Amino acid sequence: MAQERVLDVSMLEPPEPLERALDAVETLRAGEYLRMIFPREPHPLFTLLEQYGVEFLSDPTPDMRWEVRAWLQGDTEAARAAHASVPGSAGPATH
Amino acid sequence: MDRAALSLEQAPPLAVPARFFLTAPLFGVAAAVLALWSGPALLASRWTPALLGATHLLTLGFVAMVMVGALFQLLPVLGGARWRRPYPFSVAVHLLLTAGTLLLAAGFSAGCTYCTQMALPLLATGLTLFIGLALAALRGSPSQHASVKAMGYAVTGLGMTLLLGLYVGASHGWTALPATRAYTDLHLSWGLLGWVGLLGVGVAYQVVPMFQMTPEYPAALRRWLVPGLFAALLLLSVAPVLPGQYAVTVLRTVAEVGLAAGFVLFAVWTLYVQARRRRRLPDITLWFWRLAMLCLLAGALLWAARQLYGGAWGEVRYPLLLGMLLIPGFAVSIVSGMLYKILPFLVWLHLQTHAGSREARRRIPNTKAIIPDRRARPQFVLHALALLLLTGAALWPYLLLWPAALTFAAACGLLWLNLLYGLRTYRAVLRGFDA
Repeated sequence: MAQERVLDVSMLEPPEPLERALDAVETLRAGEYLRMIFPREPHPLFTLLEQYGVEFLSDPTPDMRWEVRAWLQGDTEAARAAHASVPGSAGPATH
Repeated sequence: MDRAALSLEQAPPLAVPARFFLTAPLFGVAAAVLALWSGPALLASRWTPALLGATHLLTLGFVAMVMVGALFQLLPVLGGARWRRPYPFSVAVHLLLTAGTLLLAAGFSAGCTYCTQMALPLLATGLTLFIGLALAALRGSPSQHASVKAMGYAVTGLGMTLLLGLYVGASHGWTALPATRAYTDLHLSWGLLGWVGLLGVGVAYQVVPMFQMTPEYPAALRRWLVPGLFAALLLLSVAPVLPGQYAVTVLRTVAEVGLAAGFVLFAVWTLYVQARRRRRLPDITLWFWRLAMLCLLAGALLWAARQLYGGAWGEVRYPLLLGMLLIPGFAVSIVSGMLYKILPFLVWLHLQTHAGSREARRRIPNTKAIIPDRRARPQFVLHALALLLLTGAALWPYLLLWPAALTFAAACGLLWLNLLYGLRTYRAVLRGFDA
């Protein structure tokens, strides 16, 4: 089972949440996914994540924040675990 | 939600907003030069040709210029919306807006009818193009945020301002058309409240909590304020064409009181959440926004005083004072504050997209270093001083017009230098990536 690493940047001032997120993404390893918690939907991050060659899921949380799950491209185990960890998820989704 | 399909082209190049941002303060300088050239006679009434010219240099050349440029970037960044071919279209909008504004100001201030006749089609084309593209981008936005919806109302407000402005402007350019005071008042209500005001509210919903680390605006306020204000503006617009003088007066009063109350609520709530911000670091945008909110409140109070103690009181001075509070006071302040937040953030974001490697990313400066506070603070002080002098000049033009115009020119000039500094930082870091 892939490991989850959590990064909560929801209390930081922009662009610090994006900076911290990119720092963490750079250290992603195979077999793990990063669950990042943002104060709101981080649109600019999505473009940057694509450049970093990571895949991701983006979902709102019940308390009006935003969660982004990211894993290395092609890491099917991490992808499956990331999809399964989304609350209300019906299980692994095809990506 | 799988968002991996978003493309890299979603955010337009930095040159798209930068072109608008660097032009705007120059129009502020131009308005001040026109005021200096006209002298105190500029403020003999709200209808002097030079004042009409200077007003449009500020509203179209400065305020709308920044807002249009900012929307080209804010819609993708805040709302995930996509512009169609942003680069060529933004160049066209910028050229048409710049040329149209210069010609319109010349048309008013130099009495050049030919200039007005040329200006109107240029402005109509440029702004219609922008409105069409913005509404199309907003329709495709995946965001349900109140901010994005407010931007839709604001862009529609710009459309109303344009239509009314074209009608009033046509009566200057082609004298066969009758101009009525009611249309001019509606034109400026839509421009200042429907376009600048609603966009200010919409942007504040996201930018104030996000950048100033304040609590969120209440959900009910986010949901109802902008549609309510828009409805009040519609009511104000249809009131004159309704039958019956009594109904017209009642409806207009309801609409005006609603507008004043709505904007007072927004200003008070903004000051309230700003007072409860989590981070207490000095922030230049915060100061510009506080100044803008105080001017908005002062404008609403002045309007209320005028309604209660009307009559002949301040027949000439009241509209001038209200104009100073709302145009350089509210609109220019809110837009300047936004520039100090948006430009460094966009420079940072575009550098991130160009960095390519971890080593390159380390060379990207902190957003606070892109336009340092030591440069922004004196500009804020000059702007605040200019506002004080401008509001004074509305009452005592012979005493204060010259120092007011000079100080405002200096504030706009310094803003331009500060923005240029931020963009030069971008260039320098970008060159470092290639070295």
